[in-house]
Amino acid sequence: MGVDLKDIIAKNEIELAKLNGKAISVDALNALYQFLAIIRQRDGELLKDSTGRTTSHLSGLFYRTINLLELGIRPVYIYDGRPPQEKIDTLRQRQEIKDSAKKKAIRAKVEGREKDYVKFSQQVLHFSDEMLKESKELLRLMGVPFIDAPSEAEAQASHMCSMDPRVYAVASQDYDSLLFGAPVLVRNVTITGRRKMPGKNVYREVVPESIVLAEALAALGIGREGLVEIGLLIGTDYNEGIKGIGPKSALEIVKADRFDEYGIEERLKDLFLKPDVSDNFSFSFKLPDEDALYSFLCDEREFSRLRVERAMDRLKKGIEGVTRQETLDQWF
Amino acid sequence: MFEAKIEAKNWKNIISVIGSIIEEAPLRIDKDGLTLRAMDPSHISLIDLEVPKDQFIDFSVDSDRVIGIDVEEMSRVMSRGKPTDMMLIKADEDNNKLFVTFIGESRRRFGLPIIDTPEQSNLKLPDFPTNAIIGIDASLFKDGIKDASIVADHITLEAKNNSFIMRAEGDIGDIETKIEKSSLVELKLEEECKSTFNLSYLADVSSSINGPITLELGNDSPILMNFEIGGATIKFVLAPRIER
Repeated sequence: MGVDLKDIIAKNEIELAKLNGKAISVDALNALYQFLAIIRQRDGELLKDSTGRTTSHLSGLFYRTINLLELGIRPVYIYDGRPPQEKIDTLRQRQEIKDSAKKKAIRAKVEGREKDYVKFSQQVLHFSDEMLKESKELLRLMGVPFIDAPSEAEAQASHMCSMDPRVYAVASQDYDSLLFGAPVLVRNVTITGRRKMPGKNVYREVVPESIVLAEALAALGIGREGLVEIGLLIGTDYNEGIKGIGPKSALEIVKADRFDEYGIEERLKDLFLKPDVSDNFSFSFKLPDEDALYSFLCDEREFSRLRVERAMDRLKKGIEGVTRQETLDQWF
Repeated sequence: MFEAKIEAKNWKNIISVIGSIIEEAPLRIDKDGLTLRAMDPSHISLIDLEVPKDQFIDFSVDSDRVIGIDVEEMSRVMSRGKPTDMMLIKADEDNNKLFVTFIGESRRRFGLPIIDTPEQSNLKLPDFPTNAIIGIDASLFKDGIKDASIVADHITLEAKNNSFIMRAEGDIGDIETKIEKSSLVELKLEEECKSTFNLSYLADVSSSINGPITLELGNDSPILMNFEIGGATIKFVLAPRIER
């Protein structure tokens, strides 16, 4: 979900290799949702073990994290804490959309409309507490750090990016972290590569993008508070926005200093400008617990042993790489 | 047009050493032979490989070209070759295919896709200070690596006082291998030096080496390993681990 700023914010394509040696704070739930949406069997069904447990999110988390580590990128996953009260209404609405999509998906399946089934079932994506818990367990076994945010993950991720020189960017598909003040936002980082379009036999190349907050603000001719105002005008996770106002007209309103005319509560701004975040964070990478990983992935969830073995080697090298290993880059 | 004939076991060894570093290899072919220079995705190691034309039994190419191969697929094919087989490599670039034919009691032809893998064409060899040159037999070196793997995931290589020392320290214990100059192929020591390296890179690369290895070692700098495999002359460079 999040605030939709893509029409007014310029982005640059980047190569992941450019992030070599840098840490990124990843909105964990955002990444896990992406995995659920795109990591599917040929027929559009989620990956599952033989007991019916979904494993798409774990498959994505495992293999995609290794891809990043292999490039010398240090992902730190940030999990949501308690959402602000204002978000709870939004969450309730999302649930209603999901309930409706679920009915449509079931009907499509019964009537044999494959494409519709895939489309609607992707909207149903549900994340259970158990799935969150096992994703953390997987990260722990892999030796990859995660942090529980006091409230919004994107706020904490943005805060870490501002505070800790090691953290170069926030990784999320949403633009909210710009409102939270992340100096750099990177998108598509965990889903880079060839991606099959849902319901079609077409592939699209997903390329990582980078948005530098200072550059984006300069290009728009506004400050961060102005960007928050734009967000509130078009709608965020905390408010519905003003009907009929899109990003472009919102930009005009903010530049003309007419935000106050729309009756949006000032205190909503503070949810972005002064979010509930913690200074008390630390993160480090450890070598993976190999035996426990094999048991978690292969024995309990029926991942292909051969594939996991190959990935394990890359994981070990990757972790080693991001801890004390130098690269050759400085010797050319 | 590119066509070459080589002993299957030689090509298998060459592919095996490439596969220990990279998954996709842009092979450069010109009238002098075959070359490859590439870094692994994390930029921790580099391989520079050269198979001169005269190491092939037959070798013909009409113009310079780069042929990208999936190394894992290729090694899977190579595992099907028999030790006494001859091997024919032929590129059919119009159809994006590389044909590998094993010639023994039968002719077995495998078609593999030529993949699009960017050549790191401007890649130079890294430049770093070296304080010692150590010539060592592969079996001695591999023993030191295997011993170290029991206790740790990294190893310190040190040259001093007319000897070469391989040392590792881990949670469960430590191990030291000391090789005197008399047991080495050569030892040129300008200055005492030591650097620490990731064991898995060294183990993977050295596993297919049989002859002598020449190491160029410095202080907290990369190591350069020179060796030959299956008629290929190979330089392998590995960045150090720095304790901090």
